[in-house]
Amino acid sequence: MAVTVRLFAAARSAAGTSQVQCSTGTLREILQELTDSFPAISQVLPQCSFLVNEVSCKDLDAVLLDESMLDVLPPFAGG
Amino acid sequence: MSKVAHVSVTTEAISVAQLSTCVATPAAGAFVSFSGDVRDNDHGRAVASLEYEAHPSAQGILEKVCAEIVTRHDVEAVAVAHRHGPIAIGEAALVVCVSAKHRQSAFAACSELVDGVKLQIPIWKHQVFTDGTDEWVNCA
Repeated sequence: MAVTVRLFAAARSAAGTSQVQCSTGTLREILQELTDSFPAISQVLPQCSFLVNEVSCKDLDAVLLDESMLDVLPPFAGG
Repeated sequence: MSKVAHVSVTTEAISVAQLSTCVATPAAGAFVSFSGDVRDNDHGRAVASLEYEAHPSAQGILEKVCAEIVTRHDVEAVAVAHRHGPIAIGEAALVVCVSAKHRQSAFAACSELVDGVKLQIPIWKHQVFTDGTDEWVNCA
């Protein structure tokens, strides 16, 4: 039972990896697991937005089921 | 010609010269372009190198932003390209070209499209300074 987490830009730099597996659970629980695994990511996560299965998710209580994909997106800086 | 003449998120070099051909039409009396180029300085610090990273959804979101803008402005065509990967100082990272019957619509659509790119497109910028430090822009 796992969620695939893809980390981009500053989130990837902070974790030192672009993809990790986390336990299923709420978005809040998964973000806590990320922080426990990669303490430096705690500086970046408060600024991030999230995609769950490619759809924007702003609800920290949303439940991510097995085989879900979570994308962690730091603030955009295009242009 | 579709009003959204060209949209690309690419690692290839981009230029106004190249994109302008996509929006050229005898129906247009105004042509406006924007080239966002990589600077050698940011907030007073000397930039040594710069790299953009694009999320896989960037192309699709950019297409939606363009489709929305052409419904709100009286333009003949828009074209936009955003480059990612390492980009040398002086090269273009973002190019927007707009053709319209009249200048007001062309200026407005071009400006809004540049703003839309900055706000809505999942692209990130990593810069390395000449003193060896580095940062993800907007993520301090």
